[in-house]
Amino acid sequence: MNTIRNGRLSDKQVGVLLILPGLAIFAAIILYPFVDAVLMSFTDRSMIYPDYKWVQFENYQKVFKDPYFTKTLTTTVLFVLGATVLPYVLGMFWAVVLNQGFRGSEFLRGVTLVNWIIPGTAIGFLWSWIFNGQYGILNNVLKALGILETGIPWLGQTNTALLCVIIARTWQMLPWYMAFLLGGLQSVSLEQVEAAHIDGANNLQTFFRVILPGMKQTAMLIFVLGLIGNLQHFDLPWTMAQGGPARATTTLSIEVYTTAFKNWNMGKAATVGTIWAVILACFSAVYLKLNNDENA
Amino acid sequence: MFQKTLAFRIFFWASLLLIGGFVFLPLLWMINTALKPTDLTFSSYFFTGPLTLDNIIHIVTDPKIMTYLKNSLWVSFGSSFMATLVAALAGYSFSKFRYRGRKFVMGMFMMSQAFPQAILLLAIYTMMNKAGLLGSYWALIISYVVFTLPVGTWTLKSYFDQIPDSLMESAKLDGAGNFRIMLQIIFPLAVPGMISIAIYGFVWSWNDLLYSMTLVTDTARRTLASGLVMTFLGEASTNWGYMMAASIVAAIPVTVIFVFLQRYFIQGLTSGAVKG
Amino acid sequence: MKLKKALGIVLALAMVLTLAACGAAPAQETQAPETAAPAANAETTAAAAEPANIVWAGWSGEEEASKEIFGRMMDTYREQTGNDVTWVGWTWADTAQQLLIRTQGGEQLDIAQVDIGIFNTVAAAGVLADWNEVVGADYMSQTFEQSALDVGNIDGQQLGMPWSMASITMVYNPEILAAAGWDKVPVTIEEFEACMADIKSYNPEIVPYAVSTKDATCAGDFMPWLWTFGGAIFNDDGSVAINSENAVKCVQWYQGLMEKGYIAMDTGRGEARQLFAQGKVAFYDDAVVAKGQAVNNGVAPEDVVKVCSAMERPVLKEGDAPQSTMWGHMLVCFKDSEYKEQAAELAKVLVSNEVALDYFTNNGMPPVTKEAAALEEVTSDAYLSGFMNSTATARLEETARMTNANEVKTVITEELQYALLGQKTAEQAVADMAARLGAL
Repeated sequence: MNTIRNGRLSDKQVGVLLILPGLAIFAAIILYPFVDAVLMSFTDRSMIYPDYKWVQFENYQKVFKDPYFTKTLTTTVLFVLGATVLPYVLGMFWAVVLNQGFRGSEFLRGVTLVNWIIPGTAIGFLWSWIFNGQYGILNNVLKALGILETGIPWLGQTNTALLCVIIARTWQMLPWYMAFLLGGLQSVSLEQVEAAHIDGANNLQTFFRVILPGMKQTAMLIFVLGLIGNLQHFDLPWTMAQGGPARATTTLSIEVYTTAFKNWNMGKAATVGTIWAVILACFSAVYLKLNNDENA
Repeated sequence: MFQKTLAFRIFFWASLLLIGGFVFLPLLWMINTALKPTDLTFSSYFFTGPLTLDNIIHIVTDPKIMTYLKNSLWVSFGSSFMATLVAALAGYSFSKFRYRGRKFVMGMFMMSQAFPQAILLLAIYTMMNKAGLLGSYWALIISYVVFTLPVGTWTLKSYFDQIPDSLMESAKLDGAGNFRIMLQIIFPLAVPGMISIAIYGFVWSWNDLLYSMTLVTDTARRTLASGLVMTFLGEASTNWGYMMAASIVAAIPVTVIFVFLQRYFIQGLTSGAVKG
Repeated sequence: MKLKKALGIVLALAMVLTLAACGAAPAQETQAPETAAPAANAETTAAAAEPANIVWAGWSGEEEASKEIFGRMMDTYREQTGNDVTWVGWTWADTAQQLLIRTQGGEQLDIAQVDIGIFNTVAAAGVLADWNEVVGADYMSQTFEQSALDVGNIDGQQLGMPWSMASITMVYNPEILAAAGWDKVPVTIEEFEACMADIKSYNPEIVPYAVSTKDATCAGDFMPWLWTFGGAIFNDDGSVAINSENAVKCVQWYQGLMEKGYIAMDTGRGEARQLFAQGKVAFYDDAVVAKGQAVNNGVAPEDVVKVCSAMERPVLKEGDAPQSTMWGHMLVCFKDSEYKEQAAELAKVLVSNEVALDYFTNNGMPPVTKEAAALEEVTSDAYLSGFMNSTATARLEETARMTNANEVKTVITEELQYALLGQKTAEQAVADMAARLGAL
């Protein structure tokens, strides 16, 4: 089709023209800031003072020497995996249920999406109330049921705080996974499913051998998008626990934010971010590979 | 799709009750709290005691919360509109045109998904500062495109990939120009995809706390996410009734939009990107 | 066809947007007049004849307990000067950050309320004006006590105007203490623990002492206890002093309280105030603003002492000096402000007797001018006298003069949390505090 010419612009030129706005915005708000941040990581830039100087690898040395940096990485990985897998699985269950098309399923589908629309900060407040140790709803319910004698400060313990944040995140994002996965389910060819049943496959076998492969691309795509979204996520760990207690909910996002905008150390924050970006190159490789598979 | 065996029935009902409970009980509690009189906020009744609209009225008549709501709508609409438009053009270009550097640019777009937003913020903040945009709507609208542009471009590219080239060829034979083909033939076919990207961008901007806390300091241009934090996460005693009422009031306008658009949202997210 | 309908919706949305764009632009101008006069033309001084609209920033005007009082303050200013004032507010915890961002962004900012804990950080950014130049050194020295002025003086420049000065000390609920059999407050730590044990057995639902165990207030509450045990974070020469036996003892004492259920995790100032107001907390640490919380919860100002009284922090052994931290708010004026004069007028209104008394009566804020502090209503106030006893011996937080105060406090808080959660021994936590502070 490249040979067909129209007016004065060749197809090639039109193609380039169309990409220009995107490229301009991309360069201005993604590429330039990224390069700038990488450069910043070699300076002692501060929020307080306008002047700064080059400090070579001093920030990197500091970050790698920080006894908690690896902990921040593990917390991030735990959060990202937990907050992706849990809503993913529940979202899949919920999509299967709603896909049965019973009376009211359309309504339920619509109402489920409300969770996703409530501002993240409000969700943070709601769940920190639910998990509060003194007047929390969960404790009250458990006490009323006779399961607990005294309240548990769910957000005040290192072993439960991150889980609480993951649960809140699950509540927020379940609708999103459900929406995608439901669409995926609906795109699976019913004839193949029927054929599998006729061949004597039970539900589980059909699900894993026919349905899941049939929606493989949605399924993978959503998973990767979910991982990336959670890696970027900031609101819930911040509103619910401010990264505490004892750093139990300090993910990389929180670490970069507090280092730059609470401790005023922009150079060090940029360093943490740059290291993060390097680690993320792996994720991106997976992502690109998936994308290429689809193109093939 | 599934045989209605006993095991499936058990799975169905268990999921319906447990996940349904998990999804809806907190939501109902939120509404319940918003409707309780202030002095009964901490009592445990569930819609069975006195209910009042006082909290809701307080929030709706609070000019500040309404300003935040307006700002959020404005900023989210603006950024999602801008991102969708730009992503549609870029996605179309990636899908239907071949030129040097295309693969490279596509690769960069994809990679940028993974750039930490918190670190972009550091430079965006200094950049907005230099450009004199710090504290304006534009600072937020432009930065929020970060969230949507890569995913949007990529999703819409897959969408356009599904549209057969023959459609364009025949239009060209009829003498239609490139832009007419794009606007009149191709884009209308991709509308569900665009809507889904617009919603995606909208919700992300709507939820963002990180950028809105740092790029805007003025009450007059603060968005809901940071507005709620600034209003209710202070040291002073927290009024949960107001907070829940504010959350509900905030969710209403978007819910209304959703009710209209959810079909296209779900259809658009999946049918384009992932057939086959 | 569905798609056409959808396209219609999109077009409609686009139209709404365009309309909104047309409508919102002028609306924005009128709504936020402060942006109409950017600091870019700092050269042009505002004509005195024209009424100015100054921007006042801080956090108390956001909080339920003081919102209305701040409204009245601004009304008084408008009436007395004919100028207008726009309030820009944040949370207490975000104020330093937001002030720095705003001054760098160049949006209008004329006067702000700052806590003495963040004063030094803001001052270090070099954005504050010298009050001695704005209102004259004479006015300052005639109006305020030298001791109060010293807190706002950095390297000879009077960057902060005192607005209220007192201490953060312990607050208790006399009704709960009485019910638990205590008609006087505990004086030593031993008595304090006995008292908490009695409260716990009187009502296990009550958290005896809601000391802060999270967020920015945790380290602030820890410091005076550290001093009580004879420890310190830093030596006079600025080197780290936390790795001491006394600090370990203090952390161990905290751990003991946690084990016995006298204190609780996931408690910040906000939770403490909320639970205290509900009668579910017997003791906690707070400044005089505690009164505002009670009044806001429907207690008559004159009855506040019955449910919320100040006391001196218990001491290690009888005869020790009770510890407390200096607390206060200052008013700062900004170098780049075009309206320094008008900002000064607002400052003068804020410290005037009438306004100060309103703030004092309803929120507990002690007046800071010589004249107002001597007023009969102030000197005879039962609520305030409890605080003033502690103020006499109050010390500045050790981090108050540091620009990286927040970083230091974060280290203290995190390690203390590790110890309280039983993940580190007190010795280990204290050693780690020292190591991390040394590496800053």
